[in-house]
Amino acid sequence: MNNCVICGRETNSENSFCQYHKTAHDNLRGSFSEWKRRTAVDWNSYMKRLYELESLGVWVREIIEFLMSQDDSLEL
Amino acid sequence: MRSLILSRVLVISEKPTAAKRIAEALDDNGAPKEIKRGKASYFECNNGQDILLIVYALGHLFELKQTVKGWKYPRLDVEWVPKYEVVKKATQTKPIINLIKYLSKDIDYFIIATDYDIEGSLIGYLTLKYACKTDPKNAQRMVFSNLTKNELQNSYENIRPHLDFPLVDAGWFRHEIDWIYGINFTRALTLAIKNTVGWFKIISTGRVQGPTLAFVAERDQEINLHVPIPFWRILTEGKYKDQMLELEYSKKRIEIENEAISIVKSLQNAEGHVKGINKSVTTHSPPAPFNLSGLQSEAYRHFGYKPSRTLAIAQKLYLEALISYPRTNSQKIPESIDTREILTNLGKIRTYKKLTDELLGKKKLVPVQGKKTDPAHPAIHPTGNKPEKITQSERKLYDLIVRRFLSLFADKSKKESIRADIISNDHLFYLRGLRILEQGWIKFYNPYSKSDVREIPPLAENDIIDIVHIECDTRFSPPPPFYNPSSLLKVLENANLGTKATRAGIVDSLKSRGYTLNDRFELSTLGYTTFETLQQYMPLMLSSEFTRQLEEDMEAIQTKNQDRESALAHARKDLLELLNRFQEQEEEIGNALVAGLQRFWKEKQELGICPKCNEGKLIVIRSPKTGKRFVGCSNYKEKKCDQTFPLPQKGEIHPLDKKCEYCGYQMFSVVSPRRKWETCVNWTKCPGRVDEIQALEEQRTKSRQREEKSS
Repeated sequence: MNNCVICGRETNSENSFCQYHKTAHDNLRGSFSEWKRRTAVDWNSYMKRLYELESLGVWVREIIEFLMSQDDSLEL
Repeated sequence: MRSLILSRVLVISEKPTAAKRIAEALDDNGAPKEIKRGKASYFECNNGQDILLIVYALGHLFELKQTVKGWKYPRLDVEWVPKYEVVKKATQTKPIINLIKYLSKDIDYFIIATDYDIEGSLIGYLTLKYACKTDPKNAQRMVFSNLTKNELQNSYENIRPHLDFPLVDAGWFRHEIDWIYGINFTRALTLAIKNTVGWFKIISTGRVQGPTLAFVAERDQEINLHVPIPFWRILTEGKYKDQMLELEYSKKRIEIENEAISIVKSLQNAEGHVKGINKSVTTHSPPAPFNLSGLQSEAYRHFGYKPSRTLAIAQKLYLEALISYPRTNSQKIPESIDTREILTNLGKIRTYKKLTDELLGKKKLVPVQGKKTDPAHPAIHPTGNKPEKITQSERKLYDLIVRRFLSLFADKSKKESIRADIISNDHLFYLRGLRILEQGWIKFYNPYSKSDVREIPPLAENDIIDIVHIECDTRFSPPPPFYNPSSLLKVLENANLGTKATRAGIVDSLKSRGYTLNDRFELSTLGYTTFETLQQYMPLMLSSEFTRQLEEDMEAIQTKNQDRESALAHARKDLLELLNRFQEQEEEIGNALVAGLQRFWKEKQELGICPKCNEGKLIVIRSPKTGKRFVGCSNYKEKKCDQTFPLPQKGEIHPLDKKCEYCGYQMFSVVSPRRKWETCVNWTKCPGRVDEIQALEEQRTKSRQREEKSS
């Protein structure tokens, strides 16, 4: 058993994320193609623009914060 | 006609106010005597040659209790005992039970005059059996839908020879399954923690509370996982003969940004031509009569009343004989109700006079009917009695009920929708208008009717409209809304969970148990902990299907298609299987709950990163010397950081997910029974909170002065 690196919940497999943050991560990645189709945006500006939106889900926001903290070249 | 003469009759009502009204209605002179006996009282009146003694219950006088002692599970065998034996606060029930016992010794026959539904029938039955010590089969039943004199006299004249036993059985079944499921589930969860780590923390759930928690959790998850997707709207302003008009682009949402930009570019300073004008006239019937959920939903929309508050106010209006029985599912006003008389009486109230005069001028009064029915009671309607001393909130609800009732008899409203189609550079725009041609029922239901009237200038084909402003506006797909008390109640009703009498309480219980954070039904960590644990180990405890079967059994008992004992035996068997499965996994469940509780408590204590060392976390600490609480850095134990902040000493502290707009420190809310307020960790020094501190000081001084005065 591992613990989610974001919220500390137990994870069932070797995932770093719990079921909620894993789904949030999947949603974040899955929605990128739709954003790209609709507006010219790269991955980093996609995350930055999303982060500014109040309606962004809390778990997706936490995923973005985590991904940003892992990559020094990215700042929110 | 009644055949017995010179009898002493005991009439059992549900509440003191109802007892008084029944006594006043049935006494030959309309002046019954209230006789006090200890801490209880009853009414005595003469009716023909009979003497009626009218007693009251206080809702339920008897409650279920387990027959085998011990705070353990499973506990499936129960018995009825006086309420004061199991509910410490219910001390008032003791003198009432004793009085009923005393009066029952010298009685010729008994009449039940409680509310006519499953709860009321059960209250009557249990009182007969356990307080009067008489056979309920020999009692008679008064059935009424409001507490007006006429209705009560009519009910007494047409008394039913027996109780409605299917209603009693359905009420009994509901009580017993709610009791055994609620007690056993809650004990199972609580003992799972206790047996695992030795802590005692009540984790409550119940037959309907579990599925309700699941509804809220699933919605909360959708919101937390939401990724907004962009789309664009074209906002256009046109000008026609010096009048500015808001034009609607024919495509409401444009998915591709470049497409939206090119539309805007191509229409800068363009002209539009009116290509056609479409007019359509629609008629709208008045809304259906109120059933309880309809009233609760409308009262929430207009006044922000929670369903439980609406029910409580409606109950008060019913006891004041101002409206009919509110716990009804019916949306029908039967022919047996003298609606002309009600309207005539409502006309005596100045506010409604003009409206009732207009309706009474009609040859025929035919109310609009809704679809839903209830065999026991009609839709909620005013009785026509004039309100005397009622509070502002009661008056508001009463007005809503009266105006809805008046609107039922009014004509349909007629509206004309106009749509002008405007073409500009091959792009289509609409200009929409709406006019009310005939007000009909809208006038009677005002101010509660919605009418989005929009006037547009008279346009003709080929008229020219100049596009003076056009832009594209970026929008994002929104998450689904959080539930509110009204929408959650609707979900329970649609899923056929709970009864009309219990749903509002179940909705409230999620917050009182700490499962939700606020009235927006945002799930707390405790809510998630319970939900996740049950979902993983005992999903049936969250299943709507599982408990819906029990609701169906209850309905089958009420319609005599099933007997109570066999349905109860089945429910006990299912529950026992479930509890056995629970016991097999008790340790795993206990560990999961403990992990969640630790997260819950930790979150409640943490107030962000320490601004001094930027390393530790600000946590709520209680001083062992003074017992007072304050905020300190988690690094204080290692003596790495000495940052502290004072805290308000009263109320529960809840960290908020936002920073102070004045000083940038973490915000938190303070919730006490009297008020809820928000402040920041730096509240005593925050430049934006000087007034707040001053107000607090003044409040303290006032309360000190009050204390000094009283001492």
